[in-house]
Amino acid sequence: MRKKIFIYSSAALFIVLAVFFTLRKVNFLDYQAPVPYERINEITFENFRGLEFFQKSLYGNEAFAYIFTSIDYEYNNDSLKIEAFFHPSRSYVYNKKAYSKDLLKHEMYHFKITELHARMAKKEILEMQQPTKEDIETSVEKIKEEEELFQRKYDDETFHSYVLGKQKKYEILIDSLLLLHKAYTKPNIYIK
Amino acid sequence: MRKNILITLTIAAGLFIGCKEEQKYPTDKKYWDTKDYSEVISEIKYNTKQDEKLPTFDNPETKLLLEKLTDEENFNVVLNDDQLGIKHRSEVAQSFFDEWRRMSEIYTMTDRTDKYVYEKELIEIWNFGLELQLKYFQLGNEAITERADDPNSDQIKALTDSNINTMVSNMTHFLDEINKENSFTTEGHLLIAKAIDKNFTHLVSTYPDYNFSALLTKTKLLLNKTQSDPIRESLKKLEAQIESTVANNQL
Repeated sequence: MRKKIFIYSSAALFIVLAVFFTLRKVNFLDYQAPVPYERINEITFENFRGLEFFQKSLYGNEAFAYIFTSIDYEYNNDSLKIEAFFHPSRSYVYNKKAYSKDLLKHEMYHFKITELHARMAKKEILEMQQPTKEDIETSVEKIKEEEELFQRKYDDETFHSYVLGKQKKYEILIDSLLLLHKAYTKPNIYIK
Repeated sequence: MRKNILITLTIAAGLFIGCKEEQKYPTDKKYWDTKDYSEVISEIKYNTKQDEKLPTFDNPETKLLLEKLTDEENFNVVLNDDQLGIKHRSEVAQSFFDEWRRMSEIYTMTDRTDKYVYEKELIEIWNFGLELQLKYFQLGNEAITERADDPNSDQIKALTDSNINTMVSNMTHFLDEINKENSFTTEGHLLIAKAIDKNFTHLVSTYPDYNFSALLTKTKLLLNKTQSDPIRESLKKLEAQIESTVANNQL
């Protein structure tokens, strides 16, 4: 009898923990599919649906948000699709009804940095001569690492948008770089 | 803010629990705002027992705290950011000034021989306040001018001049410490001299048209009185700078 109770309790605990940790990663209770970069202008804090159980403030500031973005790629016969996505159910804001243009803008520039690196990856792959799948994967992974460093530098120098002068400089820089890579906006590229 | 992997937060949460003592003061935060100052100053003021040593530069455990507390970058990053509005910056400067006044009361104690117990901390906090006041009053005057219908009117001029008078008077209080130079060590004299070089040079060059005659008189009197070589050298430089500014104005 005791053994059974122990097994049922352990199973229940395991399920609760599994649900809890999954919810922390992706809020499947309020799920929204990843949003591609072309729809960036539609994003508001209403789309930040992730849950946060532990971190209640960022350096003492309770009005904070974080964004989860990714560079995804998939092969389609002779083409390769590389796309930047915003993940609503993995992104968090302290209050979905928050009206803070500065905070939203700062988070959106994180998404723009991801898009910039997706474009850089497409450019690099298009410049390769008959790249293998391995070449492509190595290139994308390398650019993802560069993106991560860029994202960290952006947060550090702007101190999460606290330093408005730096924030504006980054906005100009990122917009300029996006413009410079405008030719690589479309997700699909055709490999030579 | 960006978050990529679950493990990051798990580790962060672990550190949060494991390093409670470290988190007493936000020393890992890049820039402290006035809320941080308010909390840290209250913590030092009210949660240090009477017979306990206050946080100091010479204690490896509190060195970082003191460095953060007296780091001018904390206010410069906001007050020098011209993307921010003057009114906003002026309000932030006011809050920093209020916190500095609270902070300046912490390290003033002297021992039985009238020596300052925390001279380095005291002078560095003064140093922080002197630089802050230069920015605070400058922004205050810019805010007044910006809001005025006629920035060149006599009324506005009188108001901004009055603010400069207050600032010069506040800054001159620092020179009063020279009257207590026996309460400082030789190292303290060097720090006072550095503070004079840095902040008073800036003061005179920022307001070249201001009448510094009272400051000049005080400088001359202190020059006669001081027994400290580095302080004397700094006062001589200040005297020369004021006299040169006056001479240029008379040309």
